[in-house]
Amino acid sequence: MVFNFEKEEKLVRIVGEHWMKYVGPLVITLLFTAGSAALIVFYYFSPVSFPLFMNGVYLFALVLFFFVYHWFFLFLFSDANSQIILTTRRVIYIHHTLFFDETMEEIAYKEVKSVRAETKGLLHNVLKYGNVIFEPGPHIIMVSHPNSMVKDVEQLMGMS
Amino acid sequence: MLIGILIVDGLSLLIMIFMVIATRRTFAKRRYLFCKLRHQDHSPEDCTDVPIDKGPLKTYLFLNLLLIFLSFFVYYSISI
Repeated sequence: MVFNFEKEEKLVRIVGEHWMKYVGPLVITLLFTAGSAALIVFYYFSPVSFPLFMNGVYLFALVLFFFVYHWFFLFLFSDANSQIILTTRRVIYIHHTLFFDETMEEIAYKEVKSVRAETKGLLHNVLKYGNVIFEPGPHIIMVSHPNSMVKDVEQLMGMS
Repeated sequence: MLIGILIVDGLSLLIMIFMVIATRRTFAKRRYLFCKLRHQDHSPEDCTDVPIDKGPLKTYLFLNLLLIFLSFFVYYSISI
């Protein structure tokens, strides 16, 4: 990924993605961790009547546990590196998945026709997050305080 | 059985090493990007004021090593 900055382009703000993006993976991780922990407890406390089977159960629990563990941290590190950057000239949206994907979408303010925030449903409104939609341009989801970001973008576009 | 545990733990260590290297490289890239945006009139290599949170990376390393130790511990406590 190559970043070419225009002359006099300055960083205005880095907009955070909302913590809700971690909830789904965290719940999945906890469920699978509980499952593998249950298998390990079963292995630990059961009588040794079928050693081959019990060893298989333990190995399966370990594989499951490590798989979920690495998957969760892969997600965590990837999302920690995903950024929405507002500069004086453009919006840069970097989405990163370690080892798999690194995309950078950018749109100059002069190319943007409209920008709007979308908060749908109870969770979006209570927890103050939503989507920011550029026309034309990227559709950014899980933005923390999307109305504030839209306001900043509009100011930078000279719309307000 | 012990060979199975060794293979699983070895793979886990290998994944951990790759993940740490990839994450550190990505952090460095982000640092370079923000530095360049903040100090266009300076050389980005001189910038050391961009903080990087290495807490999650250290937690990941520590937990992984602890889990590897525990996997052997559980196995040996059953075997003995």
